[in-house]
Amino acid sequence: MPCLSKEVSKLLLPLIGVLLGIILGLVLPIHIPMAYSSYMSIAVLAALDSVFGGIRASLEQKFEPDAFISGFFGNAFLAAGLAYIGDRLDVPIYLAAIFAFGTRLFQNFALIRRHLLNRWRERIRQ
Amino acid sequence: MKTRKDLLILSFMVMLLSFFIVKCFDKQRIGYDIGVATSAYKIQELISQLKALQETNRQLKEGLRQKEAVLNKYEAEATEKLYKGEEVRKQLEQARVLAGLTDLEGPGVEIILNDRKKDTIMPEEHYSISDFIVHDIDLLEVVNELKAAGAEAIAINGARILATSRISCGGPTITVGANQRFAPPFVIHAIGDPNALADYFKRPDSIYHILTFYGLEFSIKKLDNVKIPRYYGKVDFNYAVPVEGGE
Repeated sequence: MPCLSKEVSKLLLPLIGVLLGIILGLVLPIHIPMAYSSYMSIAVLAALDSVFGGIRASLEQKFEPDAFISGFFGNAFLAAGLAYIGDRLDVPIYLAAIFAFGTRLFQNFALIRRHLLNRWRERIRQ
Repeated sequence: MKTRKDLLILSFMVMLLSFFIVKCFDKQRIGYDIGVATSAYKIQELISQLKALQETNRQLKEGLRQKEAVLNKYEAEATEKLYKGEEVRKQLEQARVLAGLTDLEGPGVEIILNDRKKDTIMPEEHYSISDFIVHDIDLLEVVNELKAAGAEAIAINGARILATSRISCGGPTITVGANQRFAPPFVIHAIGDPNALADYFKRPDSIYHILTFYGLEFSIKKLDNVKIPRYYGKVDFNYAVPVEGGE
């Protein structure tokens, strides 16, 4: 089954990435200062949204690396920056980031699920 | 996914993301408060507020000293004019010392009382966290033992203990005197015979043994010179009046 091995190899590299990231996170003695932890969480949410978007785009054969990278970092910094400004203004702007990215996350996840289900159905039909 | 390069980029980003997610978990594992995320800005603001309050406090104390200097001048004048004025002044001074309204110094002890360090608690120990923290009752017992050992003046974290001072629980803090709230560590200064004060805690039924049994930090240091500040605050008697012409 050459098609399956291709699928697996596609999945393998990101999986290795995830594992490597977790290991690095556990091993490297970098600690985020407590004061910035809330901004960090928002930035992570933004990045997570970007990654889901990237996966969706790649499934739709529309993946653009430059758009993906700029979105990943740009969204993360913008979200963290907005959260910071919100703190200074005493307006919880970070809620906007949570809603925007949260909603998109679920949308992207739903689309990814549809894609995978469609593929699976086709494979069963063959 | 068009090319292998795109896949590599995606994988790299996923690696970055999982690294940061782990870091987010990491800081929670160290035992930070997840419920209330305090921002850098808020912390800065609170620090500057604290500094401002401390400065205000210092200025008010300075003002108090100045007003007292004026009072002392009047007293000195009155001493000269009054019949047996010097005797009256001495009695007044004595009364102030007894009331705790003067700074005192002399030999004594310094006791440092602190909660048990979190990392000394073994995971297999079945405990209630309440066993390992300083309670108002503990502080009260320490003060009581110091008094029993003959302490002539006692202060907790610089707050002078008067005859009317209370030591009561205020949630995460302990309230000392009228309204001074302290968190651990508690530094207790007492003036008296250093040996007598320190040895009193060696008695088998002393609070010292109970607290150290539970692993709380309890150190006693004998000192040749202890400075104990005066009581700052109002001392009002709203109900008690001296009995006229009584024995």
